[in-house]
Order: sequence, then C-alpha cells, then structure tokens
Amino acid sequence: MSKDRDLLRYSRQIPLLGEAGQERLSSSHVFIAGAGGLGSAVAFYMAAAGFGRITIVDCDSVEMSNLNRQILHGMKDLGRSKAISACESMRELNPVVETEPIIATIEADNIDKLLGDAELIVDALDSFDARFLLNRAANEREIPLFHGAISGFRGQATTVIPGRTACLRCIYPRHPRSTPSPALGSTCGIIGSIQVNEAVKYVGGKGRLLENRLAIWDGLASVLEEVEVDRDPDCPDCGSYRGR
Amino acid sequence: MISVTLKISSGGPDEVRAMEVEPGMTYYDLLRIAGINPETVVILSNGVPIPGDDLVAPGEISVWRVVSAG
Repeated sequence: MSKDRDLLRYSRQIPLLGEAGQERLSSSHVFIAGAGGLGSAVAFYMAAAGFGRITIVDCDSVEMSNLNRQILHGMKDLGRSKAISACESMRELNPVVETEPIIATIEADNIDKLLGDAELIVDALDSFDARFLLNRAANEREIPLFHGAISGFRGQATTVIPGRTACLRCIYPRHPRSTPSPALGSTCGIIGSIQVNEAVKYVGGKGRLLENRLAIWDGLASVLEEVEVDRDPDCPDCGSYRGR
Repeated sequence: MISVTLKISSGGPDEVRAMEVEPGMTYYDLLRIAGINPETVVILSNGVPIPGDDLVAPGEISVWRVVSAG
C-alpha cells in the first residue's frame, strides 16, 4: 500500500491527529480482548482508524443469537471462530492493518503470552474474572487498559492509566457477579466507540481521557453521566504505584 | 440509629431511599436490608468506591449497578 494511498485513506482524520499522530497509530499494537458485541465496534473502528497491528482474542464460535449485535460476523460465519472471522472483517475494511486472531480463553497462566508486545489493551470481555486478569497485566506492564461493559440499554467505560488513575480493582473492590443479560447492538456501538475514541486520543496525545472517571450510559434515558473515582492506595493490583 | 440516604442508579431515574440502621452494621448489611444484592453494585461515598464491609457512617451513599457483558 503506497504512502499516498494511506494519506488519502486517513485524510479526514489526519487534520485531527497530524501525520505524526497517524504514524503513531500505524505503529501501535493493540490487544482486543473479545470479538463479541463490544469487540465488534472496537475492532471495526480501530481497523478503520489505522491502528497498525491488532491482536484479537476470543475462544467462541459465531452463533445465530450473536448476530443482533456482533457485526464483525455474518451468516457465512456461523460456526466459525469469532477471532478468525473478526480478522477477516477487519482486513476487508482495511488491508493495511496487520491482524492476528487468537482462539483462546484468557487465563492467568496464558495472559502474558497472549498479550505479547501489545502496547494497549481494550477490554471487550463479558466477565470480570478475565477483566481483572487484564487489569493486573496492564498494571504490571504499565500499559493502558480501555474498559467497557454493557447490559441491555446500559453501559460503562473508563480508561486505566497505570500509576495515574484508579484501576478496575479500585473501582470494583468487590468482584461483580456476571449474570446473563440482554444485549443490544447499539449499546455495544456506543460503548465500543467510546473505548476507541479513548485509545485514539491516548496514542494521538489529544484531549482529556476518561481518567479517574467512569462514564455511564443510560440508553433508555439517553443520558451519559460520569462518576468520579479515586485510586485505592491499598489496591492489590495498583497499590504499588502509591506515591508516584 | 444511623441515618443513611441511598441514591440508587440502575438505568432509570435515580431512586432515593432514606434508611436507619443499627450502629455496627456494614454497607453490605445495609444493602441486604434494602433488598440489593451486594455482588451486583458498587458503593460510592462522595464519588469514591468504598468497601462494603466498612461500617455504615451517617450521610449519603450512591449505589451504582455494575454491568458486565460485552
């Protein structure tokens, strides 16, 4: 792909980020945890924006009940790996992006290998067990974690910058129970878009991140609120940053 | 008795409840009395998450229902 063609592809966002900012996106390695509803919005927008290398992890296969919201996948993908389907969709959208599908469940004993040399982590998971693994890994590696979660018309998002912000453990001191919940594609789109917006700002060095702020979307009322959150100095995951 | 105001955010208009509890009770006890499963919420005091096993102090707390799907 020629540089001229890249410049044309990104010509509507380079005025926002500058060529140097776009270059930084293009040289970034992102780890997207989950290729479901949130992962669909995140992966499509990250690929379109030109994040250079995207690893996406999911252990599941595409089912008919996913298709109301998981727009990375279509009828032809039923029964196929979500991670592989996701990478095909991203490459179709933007062939310049290097994609890596990983079919795996994120666990304590494989997370280091899965993350590889990723510089940003996007949480598009559906359980807090794995989210806390990502949270700990982000803190240990001192790389940002872009958190999102949804249920029905509701969603939440925040950006964790190790050493600077409350981490997921600070915000959720008690492990929230994951229960099956209804899921709407548009809610995934809103929260996933916020996560990508945060990642673009982080890499591009633009704007004010969702640091120490939890954005809460109530789609029934069409209201986006924020709750301020603070670091817990005794947090088992990020408490070691105390005093920095 | 300790007077506490619960502001519950669960996806619609906030619900506000005034409650009185015995000294020595924890926020988890308070939530159970209010009929709220402590495993599904975050408790905030002045915007700061607080441990549910802290003893209840007078004042207002916010109870925010966590969502977890992706």
